[in-house]
Amino acid sequence: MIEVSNIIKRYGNFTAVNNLSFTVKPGEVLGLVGPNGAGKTTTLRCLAGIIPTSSGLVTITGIDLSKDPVAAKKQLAFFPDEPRLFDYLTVRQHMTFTARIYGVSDAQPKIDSLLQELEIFEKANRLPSELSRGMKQKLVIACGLLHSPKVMFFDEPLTGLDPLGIRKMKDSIVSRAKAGASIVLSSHLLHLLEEVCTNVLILKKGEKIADGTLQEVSARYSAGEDNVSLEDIFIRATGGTES
Amino acid sequence: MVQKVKMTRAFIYLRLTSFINYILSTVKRLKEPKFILGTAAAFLYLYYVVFRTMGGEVVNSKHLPVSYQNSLTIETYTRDQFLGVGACILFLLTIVRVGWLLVSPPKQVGLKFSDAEIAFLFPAPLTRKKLIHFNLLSAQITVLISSVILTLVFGRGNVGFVLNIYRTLGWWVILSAMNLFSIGSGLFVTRTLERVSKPLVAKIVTGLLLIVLVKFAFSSFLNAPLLESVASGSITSILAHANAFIKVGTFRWLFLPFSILVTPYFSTHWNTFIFGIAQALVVLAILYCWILNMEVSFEDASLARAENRAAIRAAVAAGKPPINASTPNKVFKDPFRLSSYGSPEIAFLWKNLISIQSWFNLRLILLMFGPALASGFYAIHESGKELDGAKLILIISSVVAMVTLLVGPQFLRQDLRSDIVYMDMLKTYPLKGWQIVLGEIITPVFVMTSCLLLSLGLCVFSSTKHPQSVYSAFSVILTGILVIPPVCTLQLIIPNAAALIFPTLAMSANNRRGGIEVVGQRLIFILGQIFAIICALIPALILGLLVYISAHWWAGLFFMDQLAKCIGAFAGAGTAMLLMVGEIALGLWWLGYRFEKFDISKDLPQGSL
Repeated sequence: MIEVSNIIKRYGNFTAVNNLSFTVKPGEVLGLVGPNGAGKTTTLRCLAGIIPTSSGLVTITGIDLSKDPVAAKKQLAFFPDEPRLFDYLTVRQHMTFTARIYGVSDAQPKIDSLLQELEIFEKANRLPSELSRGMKQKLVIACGLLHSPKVMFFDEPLTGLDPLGIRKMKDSIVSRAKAGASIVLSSHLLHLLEEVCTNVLILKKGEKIADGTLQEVSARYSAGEDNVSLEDIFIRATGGTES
Repeated sequence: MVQKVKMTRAFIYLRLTSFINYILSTVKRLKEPKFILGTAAAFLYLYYVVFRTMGGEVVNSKHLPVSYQNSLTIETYTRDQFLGVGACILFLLTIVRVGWLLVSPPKQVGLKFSDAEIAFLFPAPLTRKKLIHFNLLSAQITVLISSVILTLVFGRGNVGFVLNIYRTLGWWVILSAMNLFSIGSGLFVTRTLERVSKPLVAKIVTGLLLIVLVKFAFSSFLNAPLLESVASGSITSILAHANAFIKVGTFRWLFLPFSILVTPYFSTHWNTFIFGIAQALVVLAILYCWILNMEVSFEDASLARAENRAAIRAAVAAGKPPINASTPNKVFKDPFRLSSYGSPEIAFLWKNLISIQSWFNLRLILLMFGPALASGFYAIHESGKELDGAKLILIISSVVAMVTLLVGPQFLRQDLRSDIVYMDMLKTYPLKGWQIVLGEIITPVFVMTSCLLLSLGLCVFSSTKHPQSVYSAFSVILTGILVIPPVCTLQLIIPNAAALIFPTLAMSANNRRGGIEVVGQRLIFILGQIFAIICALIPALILGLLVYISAHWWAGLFFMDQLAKCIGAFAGAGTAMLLMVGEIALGLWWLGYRFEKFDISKDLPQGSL
């Protein structure tokens, strides 16, 4: 469960995220969309505790992120758009390191199981430089899932993936949500929202301009028309301009 | 001809606008105090080191003490006397270059183009000749800047404006010729080896011809008059011999281009300079035309070079070793078995000990231990048979300890300084800020401490000969064990604090970006680091000494002097250690707080993550 209440993120006089509130229940997938510079990545970083909010409240499974960040972070996983890996650690060494950082009990069987599930078991002794982008992405996901997070944040999860990788990533997100995780993802790819997300939140200039289920948001911007695509809805909602 | 003019204009436009924009962006940055301070510090340093002596008074031996004046044998030379030696040096460099090309010819010769130049120029409707022309013109900027720098560095003293112009242009001629020859010879060798049916035979024949030529040239140079001059120690005679050798010797034809190229640099009068530079320009023009008319495929290799440079730049920017992109990374073994239970800080030690293995290459070993080995060899040379093994160990381990203490924190950067680019990832870890900071600095502390304790142990072992000095040895070892770890930690806390407070500076140090203000900031940082470490150590030193004296006196009332010294050392070192541990705890707490408040979107430069 993610509860966000009136969060604001300012940089000097510039407000990147303004008074944003929403809730993501277990099993829900919230798609965060908006034009370039709308504040999607800033919002995700605030929710993952990477950057502090200027004001407002974020709770992760009921734990206040600002008051007890360590406990809150144990419940979440953040997946950046670019796989960020240590150059000199092999796939297995990455998993071992992550297990120690998160204090994962009985880690080795879990590591093997995850590597097999994500089809990188055979690459366990390879360095990141020897992996394709898709493989790196899988390793990041394996590291993120090792501590069985209840909350997940994906920043542009499909960037740089091939069609098979995209399919597997989508399946992975849906299966984790079905298993009870609360998921927030940001993406420019509107078809991803249609296939994966249960809810959508449209941001523009750091402010929420629409949120709800896909049907609710569609109904709001379709103006009674039938067969209005999500692309049209997005353009109508954002006014067809960047921030 | 029209195309040539266009190309040159395009080049000038690109370089000029890039330069103007660079200056403008640098000036804009001066709004921030840290950049103003950095620039001021850099200019002060430049003034002190270079310009202060240029227009000011020349150091006059009359101002020196009389005893020192008497000990000096002052011999003055005119610049043109060095012409022969200069030409011989240039000749030797050329031979080395050709020899190296024969021994290790490049598979492909790639001209140096930047990523952007490749992206814009390679697909553009330009002939290969135009691309070479662009490349040679681009190299001229580096050559010109290098010429000015070399004039400033080697031209200190009140020599006057005109002579400095001669020197700058002289350096420009020499460096341009070296640059052109380097490019041209590379292209020529590649092309020739591609064309001949038996490249190995061609290399052997050329090599033999080269050896014969060099052998005869040097036999001619090393003749009886020269050996007499060397034996008499007359520098003037040796210089005169070199001048005569290149002007009237048997091999004067071979040395002609080299003497032409060094003439402008060694000119002292405008008439010799003008004549010299005119001749040098002809040689440069010949080299230029030689390269321009060589039809060699360089595009693939240039692309590979650019990609390699980009990979190295990215690696250095991320605080990693500048590994050649074409070399696959090596898998390093776990330093120890890391279980999933226990202190998370140990995970950082484990991770950084894996990455530190990649830094232990021959270069680092030579840098770290080269001075120690050199000191050892020097000591052997000076002492002859009097030097025993123990003294040698003492000398080498003392120098290793000094080098570790002084430059260790700069070399061992497997801490926040290199991991600052992973800040977003580090901040997702469920750990307190101080835990991450502690985890990050453990590795360099561990390596430095191990190195210092080993050196100390060897020093003590090699200097303890008598049974009565065992107490002293024990005191020293005990003091080392208590004091070295906190001293190393303090030494490493300071640069890590700087990385968190001035992350841009830490990143610029990683990616080796230049700029006058960055040079100044680094100077300020080095001075600040020295000041901070002194401030941190002085209280511990004073308190430790006071406790040592008191404990020694008190223990002397009950025990023999050697044992009292041991007790005093333990008490003094223990007190100093406790004080330093307190400072470290305070530093870690504050850095942890700073880490938690670190805002990657505000504190790090755009696009660094």
